[in-house]
Amino acid sequence: MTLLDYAQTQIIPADLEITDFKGVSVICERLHEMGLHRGQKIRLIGRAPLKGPLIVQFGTSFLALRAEEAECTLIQAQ
Amino acid sequence: MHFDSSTVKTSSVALVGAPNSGKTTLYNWLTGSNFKTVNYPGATVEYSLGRLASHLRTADEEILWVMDTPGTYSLHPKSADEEVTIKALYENPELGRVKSVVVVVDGTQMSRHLQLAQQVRETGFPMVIALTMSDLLRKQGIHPNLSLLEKEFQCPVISFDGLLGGGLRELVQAIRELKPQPQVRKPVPWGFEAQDRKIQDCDELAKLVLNQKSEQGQSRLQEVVKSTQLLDRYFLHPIFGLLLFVLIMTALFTSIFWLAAPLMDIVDSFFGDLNSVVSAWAPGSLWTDFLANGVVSSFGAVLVFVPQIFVLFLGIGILESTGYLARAATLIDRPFSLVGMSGRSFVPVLSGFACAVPAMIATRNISSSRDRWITTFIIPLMTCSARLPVYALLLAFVFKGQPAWKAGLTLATLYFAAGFVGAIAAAIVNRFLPAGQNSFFMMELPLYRRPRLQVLLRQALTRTMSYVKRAGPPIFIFAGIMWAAATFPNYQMEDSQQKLEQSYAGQLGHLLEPLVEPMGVDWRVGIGLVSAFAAREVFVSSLAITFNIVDSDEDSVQRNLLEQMATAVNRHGEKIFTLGSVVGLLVFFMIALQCMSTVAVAAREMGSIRFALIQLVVFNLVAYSLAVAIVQTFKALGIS
Repeated sequence: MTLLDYAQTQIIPADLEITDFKGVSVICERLHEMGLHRGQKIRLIGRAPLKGPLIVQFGTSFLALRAEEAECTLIQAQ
Repeated sequence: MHFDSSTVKTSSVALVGAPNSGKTTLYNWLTGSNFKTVNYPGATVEYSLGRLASHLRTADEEILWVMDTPGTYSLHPKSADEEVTIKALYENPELGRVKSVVVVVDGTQMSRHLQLAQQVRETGFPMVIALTMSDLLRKQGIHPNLSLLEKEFQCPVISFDGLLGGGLRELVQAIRELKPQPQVRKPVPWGFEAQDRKIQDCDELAKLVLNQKSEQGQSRLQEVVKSTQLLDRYFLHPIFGLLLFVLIMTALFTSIFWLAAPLMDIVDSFFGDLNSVVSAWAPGSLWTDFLANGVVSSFGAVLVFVPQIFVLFLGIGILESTGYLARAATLIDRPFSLVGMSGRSFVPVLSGFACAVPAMIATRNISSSRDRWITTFIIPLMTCSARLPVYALLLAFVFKGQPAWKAGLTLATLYFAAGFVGAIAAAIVNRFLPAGQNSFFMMELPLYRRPRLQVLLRQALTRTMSYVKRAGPPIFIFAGIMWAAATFPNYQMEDSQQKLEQSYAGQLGHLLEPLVEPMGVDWRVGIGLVSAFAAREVFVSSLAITFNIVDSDEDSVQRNLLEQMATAVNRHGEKIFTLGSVVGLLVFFMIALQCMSTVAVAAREMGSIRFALIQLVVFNLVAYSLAVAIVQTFKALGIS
């Protein structure tokens, strides 16, 4: 399941684990550069108003991800 | 920048790090007051270069240049300003290839920031790792295992305290002791699998270094983010978040008026007094007239707005250093994307309220060239600080004798209106531009921090001074030209009104009158409008001259000018400054692109002279047509 699907269908906040990345390679590369990787445990905190970016926390970092970016991130619930 | 061509050996070190890593703080500590390039809010412009602060030098030392680069997450650039960082390292126009690199790693974000260190390591640059934010870690009782990092990266690791400057000398010493490398490699992309593995490794390493293996260690590190979590519950809340956003922006834009008012009075009285003093030197002489009514009045008319510009810079600085700007960008991403931009356009657009030049440079942070094009296109519509003197004068005229909050609120409305006009322009351009490739937003939300007032004030002051320095020469030159044009050829004439009418300025103004008459103003304002193309704020000083502020018994330049405006009539005996014509002027200044530096920067940043020319012609045509339409409508409705 992608992070976007999860945010649209499940209850937030939620603890998740990244399983893989797919789609646009430059987005996947940048997601890595922001510190995300397979097996990374993240917490989906919320979503900005007006269906804006998703807010994700991992460790001490906070990241805002647009729908397209959340779509490249595959997750499973912990 | 000048470089000694003598035989002194020079060396150079570049600071490289992710955005918000504390890189610029370290840079300021290293260079002291020696740095040459000024950074504007929201962007490291180009790169900054400075000499090592004198108290850190040794007696016989070679010259050490320190370079600050735009924040980057990796050495594989994905936006224009990340490319600047790579270029600054390898093919620097000033230094050639830099000799060594300091990788700035935020201790609280270690696992993420270590991958950049890894990439620099692979290029072979001699490097030092500077670990920042260590004070935050220490507060939670976390003591990073530096020797483990040193072993892993085979380079010195120095802990640096940005608040007090602790570790500075050790860092400089470590830089000095680095062995020069004759050869370095260009960065090679890792590829998906390798990258994923390396980042996991960095994550593991960071956990070891920060003693995160135990539950207790982890909960300690989580303490660092507690307040950020709490604050974000409000600042990013679907309802409160938007409400707070509007409140904060309103506070920012209204404070420009009321917070600056007392300071403005001081500046205004000062120039009023100076005018009287200078006039008294040799009454009636041409030189005294030039100094008092040409130079002093012009500077007074413009410098009176410096406190407002200072307040604006201070406000943006506060938002930036607390960490709120990234949240604002997140909130605005969705609305912005509807008109073809992204949340990344927010900081450039907001900087546009200070000055379009650094704002256009700040668009380098936008990865999609289409987004960047649209953002650069609408930036000149934002209310830059040069418009402020004009707005302030016109609003002071409309709200004369009324409480300051009215003018303040109207000014805030004008600022929001600029945003609205910008949105319309963006939407139009968005419709006509061909669809582009993928853009990404992906914004790091830095931890909230309490800014240091002293640093904020100093930074706002530096930025204001750089504005004054840039605006000063054109004001001075135009004041001279305007005064001469308004004084000659009949400088001995007694009747000042007639003298002006028959002067060169008067003649030119009359020539232009048919063009400005539909805007409801006469030739004197026409001269002001033309001179505003040198710099918008010159409009105010040229009004001060064309409306002939000669009587120096008045104790303030601005009050005198306002009085002149209230009584000014055109040749038909009708008042010039009516509500209609003032609103027309406001709208004209809101949209017109009158700043030649902006045109030059737009052409350079977009690599297209056509882009800049289209912008210039379109904005001015629209501004003029709208102003005329408004004035004529007011007239037809009989509002004066």
